[in-house]
Amino acid sequence: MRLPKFEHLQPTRLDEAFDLLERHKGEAKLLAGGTDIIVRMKHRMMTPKYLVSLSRIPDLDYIRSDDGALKIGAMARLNDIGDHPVVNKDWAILAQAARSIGSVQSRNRATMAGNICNASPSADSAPSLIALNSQVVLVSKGGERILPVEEFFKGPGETAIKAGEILKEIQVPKMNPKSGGYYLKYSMRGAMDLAIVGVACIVTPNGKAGYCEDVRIVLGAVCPTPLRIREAEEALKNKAVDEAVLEKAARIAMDESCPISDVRSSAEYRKKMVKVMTRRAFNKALSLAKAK
Amino acid sequence: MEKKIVKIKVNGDWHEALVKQNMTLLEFIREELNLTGTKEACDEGECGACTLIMDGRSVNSCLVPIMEANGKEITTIEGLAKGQDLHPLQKAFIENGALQCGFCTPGMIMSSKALLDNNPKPTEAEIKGAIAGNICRCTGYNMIVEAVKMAAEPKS
Repeated sequence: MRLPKFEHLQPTRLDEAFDLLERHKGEAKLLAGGTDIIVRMKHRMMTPKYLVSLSRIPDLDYIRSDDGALKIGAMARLNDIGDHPVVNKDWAILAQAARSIGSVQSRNRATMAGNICNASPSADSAPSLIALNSQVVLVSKGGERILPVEEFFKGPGETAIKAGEILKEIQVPKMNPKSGGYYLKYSMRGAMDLAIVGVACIVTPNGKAGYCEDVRIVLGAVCPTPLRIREAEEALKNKAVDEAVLEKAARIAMDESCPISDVRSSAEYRKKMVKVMTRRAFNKALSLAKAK
Repeated sequence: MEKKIVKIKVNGDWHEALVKQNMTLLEFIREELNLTGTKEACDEGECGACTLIMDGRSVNSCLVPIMEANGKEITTIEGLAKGQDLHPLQKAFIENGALQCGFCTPGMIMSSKALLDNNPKPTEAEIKGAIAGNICRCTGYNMIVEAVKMAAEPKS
C-alpha cells in the first residue's frame, strides 16, 4: 500500500521544528520511529500534509542516569532502552516493558516517547512508566512544562500535549533498591501481539515477613487510558499479605477496570484476566524484590 | 509535493536518486534499484518479509520513509554472497532445508544476520526472539532455527 502524499521536513534544531509546527499548524505531525504513524498513513486513518521528523535534531537520542534519575530522550529507540545495562539493573521493569513491544525490527525504529504519544490504551511502556512515577518534559517555543505520565493520557489516541509542543524527554525517578517490579503482558503472540491485559506492579517489602511498605499497580489495555489502581495498592500495604488479601486486592483491580470487547478478547474475559494477572504480577514483583 | 534527492549506500555502493517523498525504503530498493530479493508482503510492519539492515540494525523497510534513509548504509539479501560464494547463513539455510516457498527467506536471513553480527553465539531463545517478527506461512520454523544455529557454529 502506497503512502499518501506528504512533505517530509527534517529540521536540524528544535527551534526550527517549533517554527515548522507553527507554520503548518493542524496539517503537520511529528515523526519519530514511524512504526505507528506510517501504518496509519498507509491505511489513510491519518493524512498529514507535513511530517516533521525529529531524526536530524542532534541530542534527542540518549539514555542518561547521571543524577540518579533516568532520562530518556525523544529519539531513544525501544531496543536501546531494553538492552541498556543500567536500565536493566536499576529500572528492570522498564527495560522489560520496552522489550515486550513488537518485533526486533520495530523496536530498532520505535521510540518510547512515540509509544506514549500515540496513546494507545494498550501501549506497553505506559503502565510501567506510571508505576515508576515518571514524568514527561514537554517543550515549546514558550518554554517547557513537566507533567506526570499518569496525567499525560486523556483517552484513546489523546494526550495532554498541546499544539506546538514536543515531548523531549521522559524522566524516571530512582527506584528504591529494595523494590521489585514486573510488567506482565498477557497476549496471544508474545511481543508481536497487542496486550489483552497489561499489569505493571512494583512492590517494596519492608523487611517484616509478608509486609510491603509500598505497592503500585497500573493496568493497561483495559480502560480508555492506563489506570493506576490506588485502592488495590492500599489493600496490600503494611499488612501481612496472604492469599485472601491478595485476592481482595486483585478483585478491586478487576472491578475498577472498564475494558471493551474487540478481536483480541471479550470485555468479560478481560475483566476476569485482570484479576488473575494482577495476582500474578504482584507475586512475580514480590519474588524479584526478595531475590535482591 | 516536489521530489527530493537522496543518497543511500546499498551493499557497498552509493546511489543518488531523485525520489518522491512518499516513497518507502522498500519501494526504493525494489523499484529504483531493482533489488527484488527484499520482499513486499503485508507492507505494514507485521510480517518481516521486507527486513533489511540499516546502519547495522534490522528494520522493516516498508515502514521507513525514504527521506529517513538518506545518508544511511543498507545491506540487502543481495549483499551477502561474494560472487558465487554464499554467506554462511545462506549455506546453512540450504543445508537444513530451511525454506519451502522461499518468500520469507530473505527477511529471515537478514534478521538472523543482524542477530549474529551483534551476538555471534546466540541461545535458541535468542534466535527465536530475533526472528519473532518474521512470519513463515509454510511454518518451517524449526529448520530455520537449526540453520541459524549451524551458521553460528559451523561444523569444521
